[in-house]
Amino acid sequence: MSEIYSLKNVKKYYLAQKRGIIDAIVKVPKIYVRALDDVSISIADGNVIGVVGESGSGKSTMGKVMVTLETPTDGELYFKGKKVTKAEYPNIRKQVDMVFQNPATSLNPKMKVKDIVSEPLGHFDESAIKEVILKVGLAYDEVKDKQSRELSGGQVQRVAIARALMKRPELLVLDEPTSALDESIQAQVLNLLVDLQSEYKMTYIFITHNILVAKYISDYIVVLYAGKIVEYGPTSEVLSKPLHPYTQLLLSSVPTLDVKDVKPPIGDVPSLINLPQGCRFNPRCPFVMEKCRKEEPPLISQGQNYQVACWLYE
Amino acid sequence: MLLSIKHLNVWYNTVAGKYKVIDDLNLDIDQGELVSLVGESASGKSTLGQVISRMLPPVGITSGEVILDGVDVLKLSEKEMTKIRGTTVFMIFQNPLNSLNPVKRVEDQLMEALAIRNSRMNIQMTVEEARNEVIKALASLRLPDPEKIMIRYPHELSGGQVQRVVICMALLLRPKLLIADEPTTALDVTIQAQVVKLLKDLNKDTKMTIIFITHDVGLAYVLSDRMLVFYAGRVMEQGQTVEVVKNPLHPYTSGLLASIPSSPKHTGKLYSIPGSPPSYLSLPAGCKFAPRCRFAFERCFQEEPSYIKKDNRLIRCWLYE
Ligand SMILES: Nc1ncnc2c1ncn2[C@@H]1O[C@H](COP(=O)(O)OP(=O)(O)OP(=O)(O)O)[C@@H](O)[C@H]1O
Ligand SMILES: Nc1ncnc2c1ncn2[C@@H]1O[C@H](COP(=O)(O)OP(=O)(O)O)[C@@H](O)[C@H]1O
Ligand code: SF4
Ligand code: SF4
Ligand SMILES: [Mg+2]
Ligand SMILES: [Mg+2]
Repeated sequence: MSEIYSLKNVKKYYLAQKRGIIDAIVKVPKIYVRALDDVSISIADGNVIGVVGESGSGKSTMGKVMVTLETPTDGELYFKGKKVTKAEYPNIRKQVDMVFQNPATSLNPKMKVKDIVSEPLGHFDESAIKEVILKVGLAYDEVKDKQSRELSGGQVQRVAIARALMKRPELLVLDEPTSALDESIQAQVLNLLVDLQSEYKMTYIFITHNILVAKYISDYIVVLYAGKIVEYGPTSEVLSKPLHPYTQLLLSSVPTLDVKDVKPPIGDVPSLINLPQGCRFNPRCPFVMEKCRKEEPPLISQGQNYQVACWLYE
Repeated sequence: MLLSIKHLNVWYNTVAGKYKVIDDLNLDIDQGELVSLVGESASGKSTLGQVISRMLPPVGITSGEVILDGVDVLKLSEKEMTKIRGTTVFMIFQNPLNSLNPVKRVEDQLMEALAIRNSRMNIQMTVEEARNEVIKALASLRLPDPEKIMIRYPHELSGGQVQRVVICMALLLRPKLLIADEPTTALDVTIQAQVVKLLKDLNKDTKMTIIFITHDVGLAYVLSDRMLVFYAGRVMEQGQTVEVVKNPLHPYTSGLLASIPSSPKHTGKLYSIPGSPPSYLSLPAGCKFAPRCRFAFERCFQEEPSYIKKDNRLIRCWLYE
């Protein structure tokens, strides 16, 4: 399969606080939040890439950078082998789209469903709108004139997906598309996404907190920790015998119906302003070694399409 | 018996009309039990928690008995309730900030909680002793730098830290019954797992009785000894957690369990219960689950099943009569 998108050493730093004019005059140093810190990944066409990690690990930022809603502080993006420059952004946005976390708040609550869905197109094409609304499993005549605040959580999520499908994107970033839903509706939305992906031959970047959902839908898994990829590989391997100590602890924190226990890691996620020296997971790592406190591990290859950033696998 | 609920019914009287959100609920909980309430959104879980802790808003109307530690809390005046709130029953909310006072430092709020406990138990403590007790409690929750956390205001803490401060409050108050309403929904799985461990330890070490409310069946499985499955204001199934999860009897319970993803997509589509939950304003006649139930037969649409006992379980389903 060919590569559809790649990130090369991408960094996204946000200014942690607004600086007043006095701060600039007296040269108070700028403080940055390192939301994405040197991320490199190559994504093959037609796959579902699950992105997992704790809150603040940079999942949404990675999605926003890929759809060019955020410009990287450093590093390069390539779409189908072609470098993504600022001049290319409008073109990229036609082919790469994103369904945002919390559609209930990201969609205009007073807009009618048919207008929400047709907006990306720039003009009103009823038959096209009707087609995608039916595709996502909603009754067109029932919902077309409703405002999004009049819909249930599952319906709002479907409308957000329908809107993204209007442009027939080749790559779709889905940010936590099911986390606000109950299990039964979550199952419906996941089934829908799987069908749409094979019908439209899309690539998904599927961001989620929910490991069971990631396990169901993804072909590959990216594990982010404090702005960095710590493990990347086929879902069946990463989620059944994870290599990175963080992935292991993340998985044993997930309640399942198999084991009646959870084993959480100690401590909290580090501040993205003051990261620990060396490996950024070292203060919480049960296997920490001398070297880990000094040098940051790079991504080390573990066979085809499998990489892990940990000195244990050097 | 610490808690005994008999024939509890709850209505909300709103502009949209008066509707019943809990129907004939019966529940006995012994001292030291860890019970979970599961079920989808709006099934009535939080309402039950609010009834027991007497936090139901004025639009709520109740009938029946809720006997907690020997007294019917539904019959207590607000003044009498204030005397037992905190040490007899304490409730933690989904949004932990609702449990803390935003304009008071963590230290002051925790010291207050300990003072309430001490005055009700007639325990004398110096300020120094009390402060040490609070620090000890915070440290036992594995909050790094307890002294630093104590001088902060709630909004200066992360969600996980706030929730642990609230649990610390419970630790200091030592209520006989702790009701935790989705306390981890806003948290990361790793912090959720830390909170789950804490609650389990609290239950084991101090025999604190806990009611844990969640819509996450996996979480309820890991945590609880006994489970109540809610649907449309009814407890559809009640039994030992392991038995309910491994061998669900009620069709709603089995549907809920079946829709949790457990294998990769190439093995097939996920099961999902057809249809959607009913509105309380227009509940179906008969069994409330009948329009979505694949086993429904004629009687189900006419008569609502009451509790039927089978293998240590209570089930509201005609299949088990
Ligand atoms: N516009 C912004 N300005 C400043 N900081 C930001 C901005 N957007 C994100 N951040 C910070 O970047 C980091 C990564 O945020 P991001 O939203 O990517 O996390 P996430 O992994 O999606 O988390 P969640 O699971 O909570 O959605 C966080 O520390 C966040 O506070
Ligand atoms: N204060 C209130 N006023 C009116 N209706 C309410 C109130 N609180 C809850 N309800 C309604 O009661 C039903 C049960 O709610 P709740 O107990 O919060 O369910 P759960 O906790 O299971 O999600 C829902 O239909 C909800 O909208
Ligand atoms: S590099 Fe060292 S500290 Fe980091 S995860 Fe590996 S063993 Fe742990
Ligand atoms: S009573 Fe009938 S409709 Fe209700 S759950 Fe049982 S079989 Fe289904
Ligand atoms: Mg996010
Ligand atoms: Mg609730």
